[in-house]
Parts: sequence; structure tokens; C-alpha cells
Amino acid sequence: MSAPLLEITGLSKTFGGLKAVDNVDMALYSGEILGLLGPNGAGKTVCFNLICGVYRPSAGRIRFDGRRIDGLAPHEVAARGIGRTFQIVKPFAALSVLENVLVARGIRRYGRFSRMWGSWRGRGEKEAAMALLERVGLAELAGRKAGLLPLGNLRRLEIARALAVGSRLVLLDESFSGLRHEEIARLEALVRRIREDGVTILLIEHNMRVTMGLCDRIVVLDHGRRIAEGTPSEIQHDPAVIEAYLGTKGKRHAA
Amino acid sequence: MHLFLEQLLNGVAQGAIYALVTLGLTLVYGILRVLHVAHAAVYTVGAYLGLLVFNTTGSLALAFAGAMAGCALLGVLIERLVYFPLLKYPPYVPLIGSIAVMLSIEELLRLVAGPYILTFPAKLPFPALHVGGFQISPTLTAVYVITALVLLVLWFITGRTEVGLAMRAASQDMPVADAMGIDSHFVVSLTFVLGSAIAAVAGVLVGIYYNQVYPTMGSVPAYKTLAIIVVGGMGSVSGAVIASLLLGIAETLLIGYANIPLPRDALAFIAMIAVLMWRREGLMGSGR
Repeated sequence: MSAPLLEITGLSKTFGGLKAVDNVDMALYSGEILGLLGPNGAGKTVCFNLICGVYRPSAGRIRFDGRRIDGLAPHEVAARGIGRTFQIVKPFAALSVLENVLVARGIRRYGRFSRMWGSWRGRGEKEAAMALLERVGLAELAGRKAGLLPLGNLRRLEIARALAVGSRLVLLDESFSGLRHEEIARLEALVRRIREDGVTILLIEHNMRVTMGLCDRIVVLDHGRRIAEGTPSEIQHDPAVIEAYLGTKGKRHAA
Repeated sequence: MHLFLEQLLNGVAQGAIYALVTLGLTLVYGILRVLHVAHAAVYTVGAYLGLLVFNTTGSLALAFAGAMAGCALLGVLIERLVYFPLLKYPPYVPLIGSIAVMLSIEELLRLVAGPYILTFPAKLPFPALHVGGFQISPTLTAVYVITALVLLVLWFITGRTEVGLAMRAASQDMPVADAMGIDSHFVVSLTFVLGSAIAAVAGVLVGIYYNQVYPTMGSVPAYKTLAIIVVGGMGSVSGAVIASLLLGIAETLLIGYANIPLPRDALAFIAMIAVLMWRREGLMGSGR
């Protein structure tokens, strides 16, 4: 196999005395869907935020496409081509759906002072943004104020923005939570389509069924540590995973 | 009728000046949710800088440019040194910091320039306009033209450029804007640059208009502009401009023309109280 697109080695993050992420290794290869699974408080979101630059790692390295990205600011990580969604949807509510995507597409220009004064209203920009909306199925709602969309559509909008930023790697933070059955199925199909277009995906998910059905490989975290890694069927039968999720002899109930 | 129209023209000019001072305040509030009281001190510094450059070079254009550059720098310094470290605390902490900066700058100006009223002996390089029997003085024309120009440039930047879109995004949610590749801190600093440069323009214009520059000239605008952004809708640029113009016109007409026996500066606060009672989101506010 070739070199990983995203490579995490010995990643740790401590908050005060608490080890939120503890010496985690993980590799994500081009073109795959990797799931990051774990019970509440396992450190999944912290892991995500470490990759995205929201937090600075206490120890460890993160490499994207061979270059280190740990310690970069969030906007610099985004500029390298990593797009993300948020667990709690955060549209720019006062902007239209199309403008939301245009903001994300600005990634090509924000880095250069001279380019910032250019217009974002060009025909090419709008067409590219519309193409993204088309891809996630929101093209008819382009002119709508983003704040007025229902949750399912907002999740799609977040994915469209993430795709505009990260043409190679997209991080999805619980994009499926709080959705109805049929919406989950449609969103699953969307994620698969995105992968077929050549985008690598790292997803955090709570929903076991979705993760099992969608991911090529799964990494399971518990209490900040990596306790298992493998294909969905391997994970399903891994005793450490079953313990983490269900507990043994009720000792976890005390926690 | 003649007097009425003349007062109306003065009112619009007064409102335009309020708008110039208020713009920075509303831009900063929009993006940081901080009441930038010290903005009025930046405006005072603008007047002094403009006067200083004018007295040394004799050029009005240089006076404007120098005041704008100096104030832009001062604004960014206030943001980086005072607000940014205080943002993690509750909103009243940066507010107290802002008041401290305001008072310090006023006192500093008093120490450096002296506690007197200085005159701004600028002659504008064009004659008075005569329209249908009245005379519009050069200063009045300058206030109209410059305000219109500032508003046009600001509208262009926020509405038409990529960085304007980034500003609007960052003012709604900075972490998300960051994830979209926007350097939010840069955008915040840029907001201070714009707002402070506009305040400098206002300072120089007021200096010329009233032919007065003094250390506490920012005190009344400091609280009046707070009332204006409440009336206009917190963080709303169009609301701030409309409220400023209405206030300028109302002050001049009610007190200067109709001779209502009311302290002039009370009007802004009566309007603010009325807005708070009946329309809390302000004229153009989103209710956020």
C-alpha cells in the first residue's frame, strides 16, 4: 500500500490532569472511509479537533500528505485541503445556502492579501458552488437563507462546505445523528458517492449500524486510547469493543 | 421655509458625522460582540493627528491620510493588546477595559496637547455652492461628499469582495469561519482598521466643521453612539447609518428649528429608551 494520506502517530492531548487522547496511532489511506468509533467521552471529537488545529497536541505528530500539520491554526489546516463538518450544525444562518458554499470556496483566495479584494460573485465561482450544491442535493434551495433549513439539509450543506474546502480529505463529525431513517439512508448514499469521486473520508459516528455499513476500516477509541482497529466485521466481534460499549459485569455502571 | 431647509441640511450633516463615528462601533460589535467605547477616543486622536499633519504640511489630503493611518494603527493596537486577551472573559470585562482605554487616551491627549480648545484653520479648496437661493458652505459639502464616499467604499468592501464575505462569515461564527480557511483574527483586525480609519475621517471633519479640537471632544459621541447602535439594531451597519441620520436631523430640527426646550443630547437617549420599550431589536436588527 502507498503512503497514508493522513498519518497520526503517538497523538496525546491532556486537559489539566485528564488524558482526553492518549497515545493514539492512526493511518488513513487515500480513497477509503475510516470510521472513528467509541462511546461518549472516548476522545473522538478531541481527536478531530487536534487534526483540524482547534487544539494543539500535547504530544505526537499529524502528517497530511507527508507534511506535518500539527500545531497549525485551523485556517491553515483548512488551507491545506482538509474540510470538516460540525457535530452541532453551524451554518452561517444569515447568509444564503449558496453564499455559505461561496464562503468555503473562498479558501482559494483567503491566503493571499492581494486576492482578498477580488469579487466572489463571478460566474465561475457561482457555477462551481452550484455544482457542489447539486452534488449534495441542495441546488433548488440555493437562494434560501441557511438559517431556515431543516436539520437534514443543514447536514448536507455542511458537507458541501467541507467539500469546497477539502477536495481530498473530509472529516465528518456525527453527520448522521438526529436524522430519520430514510434521511440516514440517503446521506449514506451521498457519502459513498463522495468517496467514489475520489475524496477520502474520516467520520466520527455514534450510530453503530451506519458505521458498520459505510466504513472500510474502523478505529475504536475508549477513554482516549485506541482499543481496536479493523474491518467492520472484525470490530463487531472484538471483545475489547464489546466491553467498551456494553461493559462487563456491570462495573462500568458505577462510572 | 428657508430656515427649515437650512436646518435640515445641517441636520443631515450632523447625522452623517454621527454615522461615520458609529460605523466603527457597529462593525466591531458585529464581529466581536464588544462595546468598543474607546472608539470615540480613536476619533479624538484622529482629529488631533489630522490637525498636527495639517499644521506641519498645510495639506488637507495629507491630514486625512495621516489621521486615517494613525488611527488604523491605534485601533489594531487596542484590539490586539486589550480586547483579544480579554475576550475569554464575560462581556463586561472587555467593556471595562474599553472604558479604561478611553479615559487613558483622553488624559494622554490632555497632557500632550494641553487642555485647551485648538482651532482647525483649514480652508477647503472649493467655493460655496449656491442652489436655489441658498448657500451650502464648503464644509457642509465636504461632509456630504466624504460620508457618501466612505459609505460607498464600505458597501463595496463588505458586499462585493471576498474579504467582505469573510467578514460577514466571521461575524456569525468564528470557529466555523476558521474551518473554512478564514483567518478570523486577521478579519477582526481588518475590521478595526476600517472602523478606526473611518473614525479618523469623522474626527478631522468635525474639527473642520466646528473649528474645534479638544481632548474631551469624544465624550459625548462615546455614549451617543452607543444609543445610536441600540436604536439602529446592534451590529447592523444600515441600521446605524439610518439611526444616525434620523438623530442628526431630529436634533437639529426639534431643538434648532422648533425650539423645543430640551437638552440636545437627551434626544438620543429618549430614542434609545423608546426602542428598548417597543422594538428591542432596533430599527434594522435581526433580533439576535
